[in-house]
Amino acid sequence: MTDLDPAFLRARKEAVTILLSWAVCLLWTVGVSWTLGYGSGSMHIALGMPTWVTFGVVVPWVAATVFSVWYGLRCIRDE
Amino acid sequence: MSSESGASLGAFLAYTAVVLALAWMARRAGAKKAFLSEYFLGNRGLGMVALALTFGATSASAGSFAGFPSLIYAHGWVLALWIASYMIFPLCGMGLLGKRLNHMARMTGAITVPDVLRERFDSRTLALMSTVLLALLLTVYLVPQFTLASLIMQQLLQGVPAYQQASLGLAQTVPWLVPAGTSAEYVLGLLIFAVLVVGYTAFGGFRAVVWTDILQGFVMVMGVLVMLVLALWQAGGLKTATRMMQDMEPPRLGRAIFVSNVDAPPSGVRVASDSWFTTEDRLFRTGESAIILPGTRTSTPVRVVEIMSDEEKTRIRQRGIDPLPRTITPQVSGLEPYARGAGQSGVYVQPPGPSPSDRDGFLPLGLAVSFFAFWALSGTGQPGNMVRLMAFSSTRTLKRAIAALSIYFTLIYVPLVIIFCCARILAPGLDHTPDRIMPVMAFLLADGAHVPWLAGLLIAVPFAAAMSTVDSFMLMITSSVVRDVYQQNMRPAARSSTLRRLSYACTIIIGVVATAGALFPPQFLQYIIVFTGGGLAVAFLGPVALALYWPRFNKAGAMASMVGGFVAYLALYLAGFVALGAITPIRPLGLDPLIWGFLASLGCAALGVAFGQAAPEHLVRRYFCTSPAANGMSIAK
Repeated sequence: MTDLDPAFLRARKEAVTILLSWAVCLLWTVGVSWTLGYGSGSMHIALGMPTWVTFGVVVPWVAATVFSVWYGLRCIRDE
Repeated sequence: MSSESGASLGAFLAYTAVVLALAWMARRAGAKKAFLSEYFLGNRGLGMVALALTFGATSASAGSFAGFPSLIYAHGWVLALWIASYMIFPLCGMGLLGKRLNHMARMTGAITVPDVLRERFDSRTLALMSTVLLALLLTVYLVPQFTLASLIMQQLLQGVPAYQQASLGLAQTVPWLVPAGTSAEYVLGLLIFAVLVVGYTAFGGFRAVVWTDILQGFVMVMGVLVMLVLALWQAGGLKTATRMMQDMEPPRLGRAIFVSNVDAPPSGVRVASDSWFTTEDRLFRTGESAIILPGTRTSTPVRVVEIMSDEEKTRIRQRGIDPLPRTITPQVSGLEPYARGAGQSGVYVQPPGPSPSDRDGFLPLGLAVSFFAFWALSGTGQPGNMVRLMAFSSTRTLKRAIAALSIYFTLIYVPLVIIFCCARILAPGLDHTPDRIMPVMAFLLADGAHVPWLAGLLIAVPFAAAMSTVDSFMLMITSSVVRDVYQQNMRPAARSSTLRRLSYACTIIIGVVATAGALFPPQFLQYIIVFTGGGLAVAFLGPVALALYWPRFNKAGAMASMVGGFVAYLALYLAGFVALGAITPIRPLGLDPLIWGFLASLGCAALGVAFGQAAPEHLVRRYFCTSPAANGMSIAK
């Protein structure tokens, strides 16, 4: 198609970026939880929580929130 | 009336008054605008705060503040992983579809999700099919929501004398309204909830629902943050709480009878629910009240929990235990160890978490992956959320709402995990009835802080969550019936006054049907909620997302995607029901049926496009090209 609406193309690009960010969150969260939680016999504490929760859930959660705020406010184009 | 009951009643009355005032103001604000667009979409005028909070409050149902806390209490820190995809849900739920859906809805004048599908594919059949599926699943979804709301209402008002007297009056005057297996208190709570929520929804429409959602959204986040501070303070800090959880072993669950060595007096003998008792060196807590009837010596069996770890027993004994009367002797039997975690410390802080019934634990790795996909896909695919994306005023509003909702969910879900991990320390031994942990913690934390009225605010949190979900879904069913069935298929030229009357009647009828369903409370509430929520997502996410982003997606593909996804999802549940005798699905490769349903939806969509009639060129140009009127241009597949 030669004359696709640029607004549609921008929205599609943004949707692909969002899907990729979801995949990154999945890999980080499950990967770190597997390494420090499922696969580990011992439990350590960081910031008052089990280490696997701190680095596998809370840190990526904060990162995802910062990314969502930044992406929402700065990267999604006004149409 | 106790101070707790007074606080609950005061909070409930104040909350109800504000909700009704908002509904009245919303009706006045929309009085002079076109009825359908105003009543079902608030004239597409949602601002940033309204969009973020109505999206958040609708997503957070009663399950978030009743079911989720009980799971944290029962299984520990692993619930942080279970809920983790909420970290990215605001971006997925709003950003993935929001811009395109809002644009297409404005372009076509669509008011409902089936409306969008009808216009996009020029197909009444597809719209009707999606309307039927939507109305059916949402009606089923409403019944457990009404049930949960009335249970919360019962908990909220059970200590209020006027409520007790009204319940008694209800049981005496209309006993047929209190079916076996329920109580007059439950039915009264159900009726109050139904009248309130149906009343303001029918009266004020979408604008009232959104305005009350804003109030409910604020109540939820304030309640959670107050609980977080109090829970951490009373547990001695997060590190201390985690260390104590590390030492815990899962309890054993069993039954006990209480035997008196003399006949019970005419008033009977009662061992209250949540009473502690010891036999030899073992420590137990009752999960329900045991009654020894007058003139007898033995109670009926009641559920009990045995505390297993020595540290926990010592801590509970240090707080003090009221001994049973000397004439009463407990006899415990049928104690069952946990299928995973029995005799092991550390299971509450390590995945996959303890489980009373599953040897693989609460959250094996496959399920962890499934749930990460489940919440994001399921939330994005909910028609209730899609409708909100059709109602915002500009892209700028959407962008700010994504940012606001991301922060909002962070302030709700991470603290909830911490609060109810602390609950294992502060309120031990409730493993038979973890569903009660939210109100128990509300009263316990408020008491501990010597601020009894605070309990009223905290216990209003799950009530607000139930209301904000129910009102949205009722309005969505009404819009489906009035707009998609009546106006589009029967009376395209129907007058505004007719549509208005029909909308009011429809909302009331839906409320009556849901109330009647909740009079016979179904079992497996949480499973029904999960099943219907997932069913809506697999039926709608694929067709809607592809309709927005795939120019060549055609009518056959949309129909195949909707039916194929739902049938695959349903088949896995039916297979589980046949094989296991419960609403537990089969999970091939350990993945949830939602994942398989979504994959089937995408596969069927591709088949529909490959073998169905090509998408008409004028539709492709209208929705995806800059020059809809251009002629003679070739469009590549």
